[in-house]
Amino acid sequence: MRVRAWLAFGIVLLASALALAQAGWNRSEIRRETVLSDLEAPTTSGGRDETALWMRLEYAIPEDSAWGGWLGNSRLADLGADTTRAAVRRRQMDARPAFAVLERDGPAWRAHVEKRIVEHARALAADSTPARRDSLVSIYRDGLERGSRLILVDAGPDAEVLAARYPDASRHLILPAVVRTYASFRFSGPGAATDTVLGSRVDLEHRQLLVSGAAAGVVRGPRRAGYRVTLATGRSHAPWVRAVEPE
Amino acid sequence: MDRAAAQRRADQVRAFEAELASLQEEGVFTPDPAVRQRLAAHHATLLAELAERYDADTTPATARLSLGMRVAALLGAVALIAAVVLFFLRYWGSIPVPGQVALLTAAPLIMLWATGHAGRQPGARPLAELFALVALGAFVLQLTALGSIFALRDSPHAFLAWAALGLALGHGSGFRGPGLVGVAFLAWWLVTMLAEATGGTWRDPLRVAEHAVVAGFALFAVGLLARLGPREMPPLYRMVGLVVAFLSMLLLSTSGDLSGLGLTRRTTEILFQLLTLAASVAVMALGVRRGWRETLVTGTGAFLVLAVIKSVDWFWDWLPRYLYFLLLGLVAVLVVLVLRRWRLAGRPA
Repeated sequence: MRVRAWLAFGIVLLASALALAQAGWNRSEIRRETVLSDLEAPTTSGGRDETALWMRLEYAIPEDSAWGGWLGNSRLADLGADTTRAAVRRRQMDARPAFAVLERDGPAWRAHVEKRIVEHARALAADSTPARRDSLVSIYRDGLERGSRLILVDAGPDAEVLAARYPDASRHLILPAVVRTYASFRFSGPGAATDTVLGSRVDLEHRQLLVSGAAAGVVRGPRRAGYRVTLATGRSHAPWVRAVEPE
Repeated sequence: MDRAAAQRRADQVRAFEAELASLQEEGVFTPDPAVRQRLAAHHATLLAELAERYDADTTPATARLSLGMRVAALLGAVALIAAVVLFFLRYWGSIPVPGQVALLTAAPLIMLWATGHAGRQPGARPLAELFALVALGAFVLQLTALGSIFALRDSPHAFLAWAALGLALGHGSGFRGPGLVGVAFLAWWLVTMLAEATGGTWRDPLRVAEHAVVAGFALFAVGLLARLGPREMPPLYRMVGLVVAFLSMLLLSTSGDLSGLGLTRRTTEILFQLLTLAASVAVMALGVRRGWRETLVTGTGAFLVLAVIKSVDWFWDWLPRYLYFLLLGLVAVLVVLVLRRWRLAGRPA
């Protein structure tokens, strides 16, 4: 039998070498390091049949209400998306590689919280007593403050441009992402025509990161109040969990 | 001579022996006993050599056993791939990253070694094909898991790597299973590359469905190459190519907004209905003329699916249900009659 073993072995080894070279090149230099709490990066494991420990990045997403979604028309055009009305009518949607910027506990997060509280209070005002309303707002505020303080603030095709725009590495994470555009339908109210607008969504390429070695040992150790995660990104901005320390 | 040619020769010898026995029984022809003995000895030696060198089935019993082995091997390959994936998921949390990488890389290499080893054993070809499929599954797991471990950007070229291994096993050893998977990965990679080349992205390759039509017919054209070996591979190219092309054309026949031609939705749908009709008839004719079973079956399937889609569009709302299904049945009868006519035309006068 003519088993061209050398060719099959070569394909496996070459593909492995290329993948490992890509990973090695990324991790050969730390471009950014950001410390997150266990609120921003809670861990999950797959249960009995999957022993890997995953850290999932939790972040808020700004509302999508205008043409081009929260990201805006010009940013989508920078990414190469067709933002014309004709394309939306043809439902020419697509997904493009990009980089997303996440801000931790900054002005965008505070503005997001304030906006949500005001919206919530306005909705409650219609059918609640002032005392009940204040109580619910307080509960709502506490819920927001006990959650992740990461929020998506920007996205673009060039990580270096974003790094120059957001130089504070301790506050801003720049991570590989995918920007998707889609047709979004807006209904203004009774009797009004439904308008079709261009919407956008930004998804991190790897929202879940594998935790292994000593870092996994800390998370799996005796229960503590919490932990701090040092998240690093390298030359290609691919992230990895560099260290986990108990709080 | 490759395995397929050896099997055909063995089948010819068996058919010849059976026909000779029938002629003797019917009193039409009785060969000289010395010639008959020499012929029988030659055939016995030839069949033994074909079985030894090419693992050909030389009796109806071994042919039936081979089929059973192939079915068992396919089911076994699926189960073993699941076992490899679940084993890795079960233990990778307790293995450091270098160990994970070593385990992931070793798995396909070990299975490739097992493929070669089994391939050298007499009568173990289905077992070798099973190991080849598991090697391909382990390779898919390897690149996927390396992407997760190191948070690498997803790449369409992983499909090319998987296609390359499947095609190396298919072309190198004539294994149909890995060959089929390899051609399918190649088809997907071609579609993603066409999407990239025409201003789209590989993550959304079917945004312009014509890319899949082009990629499908390109693979079909590869299957027409006379020198493409071994004999197991060209039918796989033709089948996968036609399935990809016809599925995309049927999609465009019903959802014209998936087209990148810039025509109106309705015009696109009518255009692709006509193209599917013409292409399916042409493919059926080619399949009959060349004796390519997979080509004939795929063309007939595309024609019937188009007939069902259009009959629903045209008649479902206003015909009584019994009449609708009667009409559909008559279309199928028409196809059978046309194919019968072609079949009779191919008979010797």
